[in-house]
Amino acid sequence: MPASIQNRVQLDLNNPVFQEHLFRLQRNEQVHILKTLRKLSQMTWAQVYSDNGLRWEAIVSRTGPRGTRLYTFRISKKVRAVACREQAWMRILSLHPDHDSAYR
Amino acid sequence: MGTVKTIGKSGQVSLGKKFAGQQVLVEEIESGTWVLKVGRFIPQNEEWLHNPKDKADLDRALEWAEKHPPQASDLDKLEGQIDT
Repeated sequence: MPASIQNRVQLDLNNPVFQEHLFRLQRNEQVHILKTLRKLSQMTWAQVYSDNGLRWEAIVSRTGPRGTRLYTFRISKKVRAVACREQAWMRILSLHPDHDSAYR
Repeated sequence: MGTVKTIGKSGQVSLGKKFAGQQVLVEEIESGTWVLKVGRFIPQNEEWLHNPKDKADLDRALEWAEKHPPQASDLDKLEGQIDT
């Protein structure tokens, strides 16, 4: 059954690259990110798409496995996450510094 | 040697399945004459994704994701790991 945008987000945070990036950050940044993750775990996909703070957007210049769409969103003020969606799952892949000049 | 193709109802021409999904620059050098170049468009706000380090990290992450199906995560456990 295709996942509806009314479905609650299910977080998959098991990617070792994501965890490596997370544990490398300063503690205060980690705390901010945890707060965002808790917020995400209570949201529906419709809410994720429309949330102004997250700035969820599709990546145009590359794709995931089997050509799946990749997305990026603001997980904290200084960090963007790259993720993909599989049904109701939000699979967070990696974390990257938020390049302010690109994301005004 | 060129191939003769017929332009479809919507103005489309097929280049063959091997090019499916790729981006192509279409330049009309004069009326009825085009040059096509396969390439990749990178929006300015995605250039960072193609830095060697960021690209390598994402490649590793994708490789792992391809081999492992999604599984639920315990946020309390993750928070505990951060607090230590």
